[in-house]
Amino acid sequence: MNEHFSENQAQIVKTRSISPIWFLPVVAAVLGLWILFQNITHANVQVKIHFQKADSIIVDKTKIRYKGVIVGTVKKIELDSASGVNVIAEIESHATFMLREQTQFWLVSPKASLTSISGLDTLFSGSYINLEPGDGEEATVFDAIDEEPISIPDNALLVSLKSDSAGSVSVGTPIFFKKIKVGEIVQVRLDDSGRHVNIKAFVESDYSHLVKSASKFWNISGLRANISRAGIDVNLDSITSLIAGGITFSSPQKSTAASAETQFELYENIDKSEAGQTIELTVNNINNLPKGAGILFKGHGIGRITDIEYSLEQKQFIAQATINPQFSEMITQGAQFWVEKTALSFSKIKNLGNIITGDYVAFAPAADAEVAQKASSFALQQSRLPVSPALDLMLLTEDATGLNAGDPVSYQGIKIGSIRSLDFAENGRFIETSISIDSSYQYLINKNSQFYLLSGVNMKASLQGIEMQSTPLEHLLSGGIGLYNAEPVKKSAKNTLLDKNLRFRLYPSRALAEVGKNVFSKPLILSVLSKQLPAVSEGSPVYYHKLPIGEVIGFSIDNSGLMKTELSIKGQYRHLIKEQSIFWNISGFNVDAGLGGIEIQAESLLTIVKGGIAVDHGKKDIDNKYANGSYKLFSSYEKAAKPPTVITLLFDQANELQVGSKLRLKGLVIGRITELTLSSKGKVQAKVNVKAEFAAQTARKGSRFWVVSSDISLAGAKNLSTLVSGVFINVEPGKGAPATEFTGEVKAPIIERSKTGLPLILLTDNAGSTDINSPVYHRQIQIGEVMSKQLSSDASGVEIAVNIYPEYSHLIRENSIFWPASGFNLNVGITGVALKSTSLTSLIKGGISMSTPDNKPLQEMSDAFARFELKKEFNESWLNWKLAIPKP
Amino acid sequence: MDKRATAGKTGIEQGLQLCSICGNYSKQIDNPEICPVCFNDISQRKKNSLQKTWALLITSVVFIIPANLYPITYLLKNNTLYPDTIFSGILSLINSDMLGIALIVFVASIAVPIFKIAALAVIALSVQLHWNLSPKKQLWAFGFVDWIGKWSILDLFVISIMVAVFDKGHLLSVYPGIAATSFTVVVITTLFAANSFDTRLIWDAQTHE
Repeated sequence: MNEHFSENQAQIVKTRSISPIWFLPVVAAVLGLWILFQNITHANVQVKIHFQKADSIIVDKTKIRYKGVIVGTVKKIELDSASGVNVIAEIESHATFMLREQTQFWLVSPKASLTSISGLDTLFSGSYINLEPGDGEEATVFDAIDEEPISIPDNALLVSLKSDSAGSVSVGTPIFFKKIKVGEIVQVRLDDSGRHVNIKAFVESDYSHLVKSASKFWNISGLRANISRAGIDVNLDSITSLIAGGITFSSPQKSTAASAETQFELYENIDKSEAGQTIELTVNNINNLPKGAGILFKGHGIGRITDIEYSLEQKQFIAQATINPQFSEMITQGAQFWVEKTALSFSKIKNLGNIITGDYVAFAPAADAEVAQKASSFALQQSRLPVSPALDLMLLTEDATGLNAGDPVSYQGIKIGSIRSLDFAENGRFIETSISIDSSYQYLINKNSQFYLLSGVNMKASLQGIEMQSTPLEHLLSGGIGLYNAEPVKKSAKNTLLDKNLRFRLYPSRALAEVGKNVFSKPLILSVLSKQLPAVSEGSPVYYHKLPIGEVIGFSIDNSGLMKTELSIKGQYRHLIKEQSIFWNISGFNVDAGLGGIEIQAESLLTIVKGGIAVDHGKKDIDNKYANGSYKLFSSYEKAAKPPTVITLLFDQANELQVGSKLRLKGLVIGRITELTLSSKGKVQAKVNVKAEFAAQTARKGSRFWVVSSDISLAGAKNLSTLVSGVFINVEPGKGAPATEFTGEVKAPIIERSKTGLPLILLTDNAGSTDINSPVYHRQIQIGEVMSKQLSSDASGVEIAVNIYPEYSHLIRENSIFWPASGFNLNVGITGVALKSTSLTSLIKGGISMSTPDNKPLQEMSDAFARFELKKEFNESWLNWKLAIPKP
Repeated sequence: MDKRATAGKTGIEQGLQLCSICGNYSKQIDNPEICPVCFNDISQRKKNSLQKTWALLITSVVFIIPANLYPITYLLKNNTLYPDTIFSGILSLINSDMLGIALIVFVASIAVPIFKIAALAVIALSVQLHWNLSPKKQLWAFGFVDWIGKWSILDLFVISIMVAVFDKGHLLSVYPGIAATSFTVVVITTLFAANSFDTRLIWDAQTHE
């Protein structure tokens, strides 16, 4: 079987087949070869970069980037033999084309600013080296630069800006056009001279056409706030510009496109960028005038000082200023420029902001600006010149205290001009005050015009208080000059041309101005005599209506043994001393202390301390001089001007009267007892000084004087005050001829006029308990009182005089009935004891009641001094009468 | 049908062939192409075994070069890419004082693939050129290669897990590098190379001697 099979067995031929698996290594080989080829052709290039220091460069970690793409890695750091370090880096093959001589490398480290955080990735990934390709031959050795070079986007327009200060501009500050960011500041550098700041910026290519050769660049950084009475206007361009600043520019349509590297000026703000007319202002002293100071016309900014330079040739500062085009019309000959300075005085605070911002320049156009020639050079005044043709006057004064240039000159409260300057006069004696009067008020000035100092306060301090009189507060604090014209000047008055050399005197006060020119004449020396030296000392003032007009200069004893006080009256007041002048002492204070209280009189605080003498015009009849012709020095004004009338009162008894007791008229003190003597007739003689103004009224025949003292009785207490203040004398003026001697009474006269009413006479058999002052009642209301009681002429009865108060006099009718209300009615019976009394007062004082029957029609009102019968018996039914008596 | 096999002789010498599917061996004469039991294709030796082994080995040799020279992972940390080759990874592990892990990585990623390729190459050469090396040692080496081969996959597991886990964008990410692909190819080709090698060829080469 086996053989058979063997014979027939097919011959197995081994075929050399190639497995398709070979495809795999072939592919692998191709791949490998390709990678090998890549590696060879794209071999990394080693470069050597020289750094000053290798801070934060880490081998194998620090990358080299170009536009954010990693193009290499630091492979090695080695110290340079000279200085710094060499960083060996491998640049990947695809970037080797950038390795040229001009290629720059710099280290990028994290940088955070307000606007941008750059290189933040480097915070975590570490710093990296940036590569900026350049031209030149291929190179592998480089020097790293310290700072990032300006890198601007492709095709962006690089613009150069020049500015005086960097302001808030820094690298990265955006450039806006219509509030759209179109570019960025890339470099801020001081120029070589250090005077300007050169700023390089780029405007992106999309917007580069907006930059025209006439474009203006200005800073919009921060916040601009304009605070005025109208409100607060806050101008904020963008939050970015608030924080980081910003620059914007204008793009005039007409202008041609700007070429690269065009130099532009960077203005501080939009105002300054506005082109305008350039003018030159010359000024001697620049003071606080800053560059950039505004030029204001009536408070409106019309331009700016752009530059201030000192000219050696002209020996003064020359300020360049730019005027806004719309105002350039006004810049003509005759226009004025002056510096508005901070005025910080008590009266006003002006331009306070200038302290911070510097002064500004004010501008006033010429009056004939429409026709005047254009001008471009002006002198910068230190203060405003008066609008021509102002009237300049020169005032002479010895003391310019309180005066300042610029203070007003006013006439009756209206400012008519101002002080221009103050300077010493040639002779050095005076101070020349130059004032200018506005043209519209020049008619007020004539030869007779007088000027006086408005400064100062008129203060009167006394024990009653302090009285202060002052001119308006402005003058009070800063002073000023007032104009006084003795006669009113009509507005139509012609402006009389005054002599240029005319000098006016400046009077220290208006009063003196009124007085006139005598003010400056020599002082008047005069002496006054007195029995005793007044309490004054050398230098004590002499007052005329409280105006000090002179002073005490010495004391001596007169031939006649009187004390002589020499006074020096200032020349300007000498006219005040006349023949009739009276002098009196106002020194110290007058204390009048007595039971009536303490009375202190003082002229002024100064006179309390220094004493003083007052002078005034007296009446002709005043005996103001001694026999030798010298003036008398009275001890008080009263004594001098109004000598009291002395009257003599004769009393039986002095009672409690004493020297100093008062004489009163209707409660008013009109005089005092000055002397109490016993007359030859054994009467008490009281001399009473009655004040002059009351003498005529009271020192007349018919006047009645009586002593008022406290009166305490069962019925009540009267004039209790006299217990404390002492008794006084009351007077009831008479109407007779003037008299000086009177008989005083101890008690008040029976009828006081004050209570005059309806007098009635009541007839009765006896006076009973009725007493003087007993009341008259109607329905238990007192309507009058008993004035007196006396026996009738034939002694058949008693006449009681009663006085019904005026307000009740109509109650007394012809049929009225009177009965005694006094005492009480005691009824004793089986039922008990009944006690009846009208009132407690009547029980004690007695009294009279009245009523009118109601069973008859109303009768006529009673006449004065009508006689009524006082009923003896009282009928109870009378109490029930209810007659209505209307008031007349 | 006599299909008794004799020890000490190869199957070819005895006309026997083994079904690699069902394990049944049969006379080659009876069923030259098909296994009489499971009717699967059957042959005395694996077809083109040596050729396949060589082809795959060469492929793996080609790929083991980029696998070691090129970065196997890219670590993106804070926006910066840090490439790591297998060897630089091991170095950084050593720098980080993780010698144990460095050793494991070194063995699994560098030593084992190279050893596998070398061992397979020696065995294949020995078969090809009848070097008369000890068949037992060769078999042992082959067995070891076969056993350890699959562990090389571990590296790729680690990489794929890292890529999946560290995916935090620019902050921290891991990307596989070109070496990872190469390494995969190396691992797979060596696995297949080992798989396609018919160990009986060792004996065949021996018997020819």
